[in-house]
Amino acid sequence: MGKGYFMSNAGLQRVSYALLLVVLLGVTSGWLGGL
Amino acid sequence: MMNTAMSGFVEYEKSAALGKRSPVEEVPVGFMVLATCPLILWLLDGTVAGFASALLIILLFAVGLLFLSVGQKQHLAYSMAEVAPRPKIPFKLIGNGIIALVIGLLASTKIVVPVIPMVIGFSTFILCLVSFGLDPMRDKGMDNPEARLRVVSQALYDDFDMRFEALLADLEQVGDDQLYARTRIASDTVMGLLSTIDFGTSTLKRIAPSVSKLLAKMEAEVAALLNSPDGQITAFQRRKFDNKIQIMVDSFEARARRSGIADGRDNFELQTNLLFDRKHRNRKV
Repeated sequence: MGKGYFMSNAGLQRVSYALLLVVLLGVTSGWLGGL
Repeated sequence: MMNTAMSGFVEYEKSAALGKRSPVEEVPVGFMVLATCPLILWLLDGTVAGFASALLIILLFAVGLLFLSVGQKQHLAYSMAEVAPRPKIPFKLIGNGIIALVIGLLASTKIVVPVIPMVIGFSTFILCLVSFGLDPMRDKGMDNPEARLRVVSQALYDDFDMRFEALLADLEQVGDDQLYARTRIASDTVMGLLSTIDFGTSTLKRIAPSVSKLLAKMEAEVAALLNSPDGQITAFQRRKFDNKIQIMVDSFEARARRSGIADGRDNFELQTNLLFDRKHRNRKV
């Protein structure tokens, strides 16, 4: 990770992956839509 | 100004989302299947329309995941290889698009205002792009002349190997084990000689025409043997074929040695090498 950066790329990838899972679960379970 | 703000936020030059490096492997595509489990409930809705739409959504999602996984594999292979062309089909981009579309569609079933599902879909697309990365967009290592030569040489070598195997497969139809074994040894000698060449140099490229000519002659001999007029192959024909092949391969070997192939290795070392290579190849076959 370079100096002065907000977040490393690997960290960013993991965080966005977790967010993606949340959105996916939300949509499929009907919280954000779906059934 | 926007650019400087962006570059302070993430490692711009190494961003996987921009296709500049391979994504981390701890972001598994397959795990996303678990998040879609609630869709199974939709299948049990009871109405035909509900069943059909759930099936469609699950199918679309599966296709998207498949594309993503193929693209991921492609990207990892690309980053492992020293020289690689960029992937022809951007599987990851397509997979990301399909998943974003699925999520947008799902969201639109419950939210009436069309803008919000679109925003959800678009943000999913961005999230997918960040977590799985973009396909590599550039050919890699092609500016390095040695690596380039290595690719060319390897392709030539593989081509010759394939042609020899095809020739031997044709010869197998004759049904003469001894002739087959002798021809295999001859082809192994040629391939063994070629395998001693350093692929990073232009040597193989230089002698490729003469190898090709030798192969063409051998192929013509095999064709002549197979197409003998009465369908019968006499002992004389076999002997003639065998002699011709031996002479061709011997003269090729002599010429190759003279032109500096296996340079710096004495005869004994080369023979050992050839023998080892042949043994290895025969075991592989």
